Amino acid sequence: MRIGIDFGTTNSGAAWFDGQTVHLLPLDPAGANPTVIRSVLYITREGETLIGKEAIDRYYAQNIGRASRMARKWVGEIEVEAAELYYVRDVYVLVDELLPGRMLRSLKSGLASLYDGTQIFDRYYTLEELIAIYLRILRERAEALTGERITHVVLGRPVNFVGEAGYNEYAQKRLCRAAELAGYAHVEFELEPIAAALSYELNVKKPQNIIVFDFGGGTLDITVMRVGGKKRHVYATGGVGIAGDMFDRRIIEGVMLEHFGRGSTVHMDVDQAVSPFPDQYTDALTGWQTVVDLNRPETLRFLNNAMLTSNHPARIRALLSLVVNNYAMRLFDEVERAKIALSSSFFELIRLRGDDLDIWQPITRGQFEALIAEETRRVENCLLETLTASGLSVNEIDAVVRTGGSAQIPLFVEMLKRHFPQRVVQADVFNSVTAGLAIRAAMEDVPIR
Amino acid sequence: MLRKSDINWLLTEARKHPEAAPQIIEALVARLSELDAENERLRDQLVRLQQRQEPPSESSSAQVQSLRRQIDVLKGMVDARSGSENALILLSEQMHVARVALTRIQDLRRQGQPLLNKRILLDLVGLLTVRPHDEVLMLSNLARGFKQLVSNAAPLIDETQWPATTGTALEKGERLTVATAVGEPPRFWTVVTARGYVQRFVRVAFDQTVEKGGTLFESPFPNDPPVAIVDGSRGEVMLLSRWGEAVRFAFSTIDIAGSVATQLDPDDRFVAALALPKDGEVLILTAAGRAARYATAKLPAIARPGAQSRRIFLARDVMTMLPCLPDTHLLYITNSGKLHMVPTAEIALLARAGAGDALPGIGRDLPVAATLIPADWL
Repeated sequence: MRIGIDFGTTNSGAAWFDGQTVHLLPLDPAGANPTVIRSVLYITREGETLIGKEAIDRYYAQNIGRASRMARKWVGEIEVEAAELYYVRDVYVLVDELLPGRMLRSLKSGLASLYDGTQIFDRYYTLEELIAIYLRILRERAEALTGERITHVVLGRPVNFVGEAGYNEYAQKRLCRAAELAGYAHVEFELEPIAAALSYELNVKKPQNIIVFDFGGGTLDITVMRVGGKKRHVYATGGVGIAGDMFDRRIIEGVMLEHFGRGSTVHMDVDQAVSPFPDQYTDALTGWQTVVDLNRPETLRFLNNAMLTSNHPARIRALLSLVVNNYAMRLFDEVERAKIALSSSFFELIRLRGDDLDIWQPITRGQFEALIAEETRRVENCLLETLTASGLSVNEIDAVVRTGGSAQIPLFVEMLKRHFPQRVVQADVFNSVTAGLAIRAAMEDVPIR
Repeated sequence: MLRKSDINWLLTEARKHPEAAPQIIEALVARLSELDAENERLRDQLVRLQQRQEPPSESSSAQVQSLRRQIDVLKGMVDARSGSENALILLSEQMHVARVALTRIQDLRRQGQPLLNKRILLDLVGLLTVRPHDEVLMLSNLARGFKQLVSNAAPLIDETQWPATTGTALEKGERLTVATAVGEPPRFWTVVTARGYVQRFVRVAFDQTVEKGGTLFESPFPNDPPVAIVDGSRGEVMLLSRWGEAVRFAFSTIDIAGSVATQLDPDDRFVAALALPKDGEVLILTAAGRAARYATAKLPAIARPGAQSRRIFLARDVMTMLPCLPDTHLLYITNSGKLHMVPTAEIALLARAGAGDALPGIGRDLPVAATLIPADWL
């Protein structure tokens, strides 16, 4: 059987096409929308692997408020060569002995980088192996739902992967390798915005020039193409590594870090004057991976001491609590929730409560738009540059199809309407790419060019 | 935390989108109600804590005293370690160098609290007022020199014990006899011994010998420790003995191999020497707590070392002589370990040979060591 899988930075989905209808697979029955599954992987100490809502629920159940015990662990040796000296040196890392499991998010964002993998308990996993675990579970669930063996898969890929410039082909190869490891015998790729266009095409009666504005969690992908006729044609593609994850980070930087000590002062040494609380500790909160680094004995010791001399001890204590009680995921989830809610309201509260933690942070739509002003400018430039590269004028565009979670942000909807009045069309927010990939999978070997 | 910028954003949003105003107001009211409840809870807790507070018993009073004492010790530690403050340096015979910030000195003096207890006062050799970036140059009875940066001096944490030395290795029987604070090193140093032997050193050579730990000079007199080290670059030097004998001559007249300033009575010895760039005043202090200012113009310079000294002070217990500059205060520590301070302008000028006037309010608590503090350092 042939299916399409949209492996997204934040959410994923899978579907198959029977020639008339796209069948979205309810891969996450526990989720609010079973056809959309969060792109998270949780690996427990016992080796159990969970994805989607189950992974998130297990993470919360096992980690919030749990105790930590950091221990030095030998992980291997390195050879050191300096001048005429050569020696072998032991390498140790600090590990939390009580860690019940590791949560992995935004795996897709690591593809276009030199990030190789990570040690999880007693085993080292390459990034491809981690993604393969996720894709394997998707395959098994899809096979259970369809009752057929999945042999062919068409995976979506962004125009430009998040990460280093020039790493697109490398990233696609890694994703391909992951899919093969996951047990898919035949793997093909399609650009995500083209997939969204194929999905849109199902309802098109006559040939049209369209712009697909696919704006998700990790990337913005734009495609200008002709659909609805006998021949499809891609005029131009463009994209930037700006999307939902980055907007979450801007909110955290803009309004949340102060709650955790940013801008406070400390007086750590009587020989020294009062100094600003080092930014490195609050900067770590802007990334999911870097928060974990704070849970080290020397950092916790520093934070404890800083709390004693800070002009805002409660804020440093809040940071300590966030680290020690593993509230970071709550922070990210709450910020993301507020961001999504601001698409339909003008005002939201970011509320975070826990031991020694009580954050009440209002945020307005205007404030959010101000925080992402620079990204907005870059998105607009990307849109106009891609249109210019297509050789078409604004008036030659019949429709602008917007899809993906970030494409719901009113600022970008307004931006599209400003450039293409009365031609902006809303596609299925989370499933149009998945549906398009399913259609593409059903085409067998028909290239779209 | 509700920042001013947050409020501005809320107002902007409510003005721009009036339909959002009810939602904003509701959220703010809910938060206000939450904070009000929290405020009331904290006030109740405060009242309960106040009600629980019992009148201090004798034992708790002792505990409070003990805690206050600990606070003083900690405060002393923090103040003394503050690298940005002018400080008082206390020196012991065993070359302990302890630092106390002048602000703490002021506090102790006002409160009438002792800086040192009697036991460790016995080891006190001298006091120096220093700036944070100064260096302390010390000479031992074996004519060896030592240096220590003020910033490295240990804080005086406990009034009952000297802080640990910074690794200065003294030889058997070696003890500190004189020290001076060095801001900008001079071109020449001049060392004066108790018997009046005077030698002038080029500073570079002096420093090299100090670094090597070598002996700087050999006095022609037995058991003749250095008692003063002064900037010998230009002008004249004035020496004063315990019995009030003084002598004055130009640095340039000192023999390259050293000179003997004057012949003192066998029971007398020099206690201080000062560089006199030009005529001014010096302040003389005795062990009996008497002090006087003396105009140096009244002491004629001798052509070269070796001539007869002149008795300028009638007491036989001169403890020290200090340069008396305008707007300075005499700071001295007494036998009880307490600190006293007198503006030098209030100390009488010696009109003719006399023994000075008793320092105000000193009684039987006699001075042990003294130094001068410029008024603008306080």
